[in-house]
Amino acid sequence: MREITLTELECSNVTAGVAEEAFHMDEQTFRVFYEKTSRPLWSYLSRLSGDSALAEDLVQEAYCRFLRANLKSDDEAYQKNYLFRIGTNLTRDHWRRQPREERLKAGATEEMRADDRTAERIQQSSDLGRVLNRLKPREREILWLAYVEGSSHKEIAEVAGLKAGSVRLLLFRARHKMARLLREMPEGVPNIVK
Amino acid sequence: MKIPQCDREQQVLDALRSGRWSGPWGEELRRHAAGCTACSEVVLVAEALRLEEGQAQTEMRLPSAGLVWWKAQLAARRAAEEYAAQPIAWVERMVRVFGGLALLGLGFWQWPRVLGWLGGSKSVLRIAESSGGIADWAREFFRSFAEGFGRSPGYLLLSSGVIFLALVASAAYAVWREE
Repeated sequence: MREITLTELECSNVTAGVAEEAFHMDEQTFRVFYEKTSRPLWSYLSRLSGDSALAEDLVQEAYCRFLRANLKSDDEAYQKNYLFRIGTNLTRDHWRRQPREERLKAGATEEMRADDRTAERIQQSSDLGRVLNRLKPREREILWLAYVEGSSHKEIAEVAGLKAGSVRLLLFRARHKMARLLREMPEGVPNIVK
Repeated sequence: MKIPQCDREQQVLDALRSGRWSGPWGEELRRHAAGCTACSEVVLVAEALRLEEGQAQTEMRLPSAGLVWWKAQLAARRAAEEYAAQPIAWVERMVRVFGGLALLGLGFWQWPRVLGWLGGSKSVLRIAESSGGIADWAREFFRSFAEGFGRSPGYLLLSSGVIFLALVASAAYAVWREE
């Protein structure tokens, strides 16, 4: 059996210390923050990427990077925006690495994955999924942030890396496009949305 | 470009998010949205996205906070180790570059000797071809090599220098690696 010397134990303790010192919050604070932010972040990333499995990986990576980041403020809203920004950038990086064909295939797989619930709900959901997939990633980002997360224009600009002044116009265009796509749906606008 | 806007868009959005929209408190807003292009678009899009969010909640597969914390610790540890190993990697690169340059310089400096040695090797090969057996060839090779050293002390000096430099570089590298 291999003997563990005192020096090795000391080394491992020191390394663990280094790792914890690198984080800007302790474990308990992180758990509270995670409970508050992980669900919205997962929903956002899964709809942005169009892939649930990928969203899970992106969420984990986003938190790892968030913990190591050098944050300027302890404000919770600021921290949440920062986390969403990391998630957005990670998704963009993933898209840049992936060829277009694979992205389209991933979108189709996601539509097929719509499981459980009633047949009507599945139908409505996949229709809405198709509508979302026909929007540009940036349009999905700003629409989700504005209408699901309730972010202000300034917050959207921070997360999406845009100029605050251009968010209003981009948001209007994206909303107009999505409304048109919803009205053009072959089955009409789902009842729940009417 | 002129953006068609309504002052009550935010009110409509707040009502939708809080759930007041479908209650009696939302009656007046609903009447307004029915006749306002901007607000009706807000309602349509916000409700569709809310429905999609509801669907996302049912598909959610989230790791526990503890697992994410542990993974973050591992990643931080790895990053710290990579950071600590940076000088060693730098020294490794420098040793390779300077070693290569030194060999190249030595080659240029001693080019006539190298050519002479290569000529000697050719004669050794010729001996090997003519004598046939491996044992004979090896015997002849070492004999001619020893004679070469005997004739020209420069060979000995050159070989010793190269071996000495290689040993010093290896020792320096080993010390750095250990530290």
